[in-house]
Amino acid sequence: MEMQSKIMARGDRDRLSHLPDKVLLHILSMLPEGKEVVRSSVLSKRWRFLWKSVPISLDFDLSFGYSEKGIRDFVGSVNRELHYWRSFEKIRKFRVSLYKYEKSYIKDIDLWVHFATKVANVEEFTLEICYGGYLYEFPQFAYKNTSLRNLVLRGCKLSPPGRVNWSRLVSLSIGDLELTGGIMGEVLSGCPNLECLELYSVSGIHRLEISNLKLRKLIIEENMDGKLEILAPYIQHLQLSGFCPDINLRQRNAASLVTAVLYLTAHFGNEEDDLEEECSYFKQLLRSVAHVENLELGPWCIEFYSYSSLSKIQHLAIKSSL
Amino acid sequence: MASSTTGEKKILTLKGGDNEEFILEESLVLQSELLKNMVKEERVSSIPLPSIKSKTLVKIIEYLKKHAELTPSNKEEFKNFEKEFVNVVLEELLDITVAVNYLKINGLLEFCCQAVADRIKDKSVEAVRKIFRIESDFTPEEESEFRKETPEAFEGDLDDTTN
Repeated sequence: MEMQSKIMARGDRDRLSHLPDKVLLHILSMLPEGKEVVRSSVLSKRWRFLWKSVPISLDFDLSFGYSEKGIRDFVGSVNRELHYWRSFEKIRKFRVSLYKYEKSYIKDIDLWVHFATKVANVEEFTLEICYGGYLYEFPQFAYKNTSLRNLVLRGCKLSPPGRVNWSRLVSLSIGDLELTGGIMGEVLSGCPNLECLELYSVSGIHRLEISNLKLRKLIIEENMDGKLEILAPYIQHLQLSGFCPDINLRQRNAASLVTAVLYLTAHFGNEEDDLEEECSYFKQLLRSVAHVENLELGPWCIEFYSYSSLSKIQHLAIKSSL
Repeated sequence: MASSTTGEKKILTLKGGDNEEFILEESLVLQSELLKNMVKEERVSSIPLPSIKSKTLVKIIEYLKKHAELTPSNKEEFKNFEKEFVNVVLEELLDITVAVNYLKINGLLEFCCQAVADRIKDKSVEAVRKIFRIESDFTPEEESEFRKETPEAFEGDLDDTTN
């Protein structure tokens, strides 16, 4: 009853501020603009520091058009926005996508990466850069970070200065880039907790050796750059998508495989020889995953499925757009 | 106290702040985490909710009924209902939000928070204070000092308090 009379006495005055922190944070997190959240700091003492704990996801995608001026304005707006967000303590995700890279943006992008890896210590960071004649080099300071759990990089050059330390990283997706020599190995050795690796249109690797014990899922999409040999004895889930004309996989190099997903597309040349070559390549691939329990095939792969006898398979999924 | 039953359906009584009683099927209140636990653990048949006005309780029961009838085919209708549901005067919206938070009806709480946020957005600090009757307990000097900490956030903060 005491509680009730207290509520009655308060009447209709400022019910909002009396809501628990959890609810107020939820309300603040639903405001569309960062500065609106920051402005709540001067409402009253109750609101003074609440805003810093608002859980935030930042997503900057091109909204200024594709002209040079549009891209310049976009870069400027991201920089300004990040200024508001500097004092937030709970930024979990940060995604920024730049349509065209120019050399003059190095400092700006370095600033974004610094924000993600040193200021906000985000758990999920996505940096997508479209090639504009130059390659952006992922900054050296970012190879050591213990907050990141999911990292997506597109169109950045990777060249770690020494030991990589991404100790909390669980999923890594890299794409639209060339990797030289042992860089992939250096990166993998710095990710002891990695569970999922995705390579999207990555060139330059001819041998992918994965010895990370926890890494169970490997996704390769659009591997157009010649031969790629995969040695991944602990991988349980393998997905090959798009155009991957020369993947070299042997059963003994993928002994733990449970699920294989093949969504390959073929490159049909005019010559009949090409078709035959494609068939024999696909048959070879099927043979190398013949020990899996679950096999999922895309439209193109279905046609070739009957060529092989895959006795151990318990579950076959056929996905067709028809 | 044993639950009263009619046929297979268990019946429960909720008592609002002004002692008005609402009789409804027990299955309906299970959407509230708080009531669900009370019903499961203590096997009560009547639950007093003195802090919730009857008017608010009527609204919430209306929501629970609509939500229980939700199927994939009437999704659109339900969305429209939700929109209308929060289209009420601010005091009522806050009453509902406070009650829904207390009752722990998570889906509806999410929706109420969004509705409250919609009434804060695009408003100056002064306007938000006026709308929600928030009294500033800062001295003018303190406030201006705090504003200087994040000046960008206050750029273009228009005087919209007369609207």
